[in-house]
Amino acid sequence: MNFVKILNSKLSVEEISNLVSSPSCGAISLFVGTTRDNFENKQVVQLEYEAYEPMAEKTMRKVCEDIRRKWKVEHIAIYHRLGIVPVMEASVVIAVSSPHRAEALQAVQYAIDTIKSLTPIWKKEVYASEQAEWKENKECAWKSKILLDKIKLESSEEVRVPDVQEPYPVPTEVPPHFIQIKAGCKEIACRISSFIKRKREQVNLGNIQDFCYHGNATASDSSCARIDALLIRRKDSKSHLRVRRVLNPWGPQTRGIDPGSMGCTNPQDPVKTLFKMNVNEKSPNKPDISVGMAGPVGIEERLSNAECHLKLHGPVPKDIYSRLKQIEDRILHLEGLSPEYFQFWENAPFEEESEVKYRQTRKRTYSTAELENKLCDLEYKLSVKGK
Amino acid sequence: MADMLIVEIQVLFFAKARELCGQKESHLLIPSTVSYNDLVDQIVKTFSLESIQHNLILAINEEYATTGSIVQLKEGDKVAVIPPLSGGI
Repeated sequence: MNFVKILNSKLSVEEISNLVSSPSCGAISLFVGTTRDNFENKQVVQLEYEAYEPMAEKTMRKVCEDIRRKWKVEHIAIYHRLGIVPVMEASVVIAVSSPHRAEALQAVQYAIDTIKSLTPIWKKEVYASEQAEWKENKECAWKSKILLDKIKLESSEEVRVPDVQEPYPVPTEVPPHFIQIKAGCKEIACRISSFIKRKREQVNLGNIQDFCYHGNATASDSSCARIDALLIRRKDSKSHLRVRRVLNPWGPQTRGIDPGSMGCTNPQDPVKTLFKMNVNEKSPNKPDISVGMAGPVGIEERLSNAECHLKLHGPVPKDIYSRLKQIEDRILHLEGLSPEYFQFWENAPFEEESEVKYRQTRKRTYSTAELENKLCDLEYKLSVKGK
Repeated sequence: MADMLIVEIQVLFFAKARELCGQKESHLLIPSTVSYNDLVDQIVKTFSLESIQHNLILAINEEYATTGSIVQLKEGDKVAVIPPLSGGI
């Protein structure tokens, strides 16, 4: 239960503590705010409290709701006294009960901090020999205007302010050693934009150096360019492309995951393909990089062996699936041309052996020499029998 | 321009604001759609609160107003002038 009250009479700490006690709670945490008799060496005669009562009560109830959202507590009591509060008497009492002490202690701390920052209650200090003053809490939430919207978001369900990002319940003190530099928003925005500009220029410069200027002393190892093609004038040719590609032996693109990717090559020389294509052809504008490599070196070799065996010379498709299809089509074509090609595979050696095991009496073709031997054997047996 | 519907709102004063203007509450005629800053200016001018003009916030119908926002008021709304808080201890 939440016990929230604003009243003009003396607060009884014991009574409020009893309000929140419960058999299921092992801890009651209490905060009592009392009045001091001095402030900056001025003697305080009395303190007067004033409140916008309906809103203050509303705010205190919201604090209770916030506490329940954050911690598991049993009862909460927030009592605030108004009017003239003599020195040493309590102006505010906060009591929270919970099964274990951690929640109660934290909830009370949160409660007093939030009340000081949000509740519309004012204190006037009346001094012995000076003008009375209305005090100002340093925790006052809306004085640091940035936080107000966020506080509103947390403390009222219906109001949804779309441009607020995170609810920030209470303006807590940030430990000073965490703050290196304090700067206004304008300054920060200015610095960020000039940083971005500077970095963009650096990257642009790097790109131009990598991709536009090709001295012979280009350190291609440190260049970012993964593929680079350069037009070189050579003797007896109209144009000649020197292609440089990055060797990538172990990345995901080499593991067959990306079938359309380019594979490896010797980065320094003109392109040498695994398919032994005639690279330095004199025909103009023939791009050397039409040959695609579709995966790790092992698979390349096996594919090229198969293609070689099937007499598939000529440019092969880049996509590995098209290549396989081409090989399969070639096989079908050859089988169609030569039926014995087909049957050759059907009579596999192991099959013949099993046949021989089952039907040993089956007819088989004999050669002339074998027949002669058999006849001689039979003759011999008969002649022996006859004797 | 949008229609300028004028409404009468109730203005409540507390603490220093109350002392400056001498009353706990009053009334004011104001356009129903008004920016927060204009509302503050109007109230400050009408009730001579210049000395605390930059040290207050308004609460409309018991909810803190958002500085810099556009406020929609209707007849009988309560606008409280809230100086810096000093509740608790």
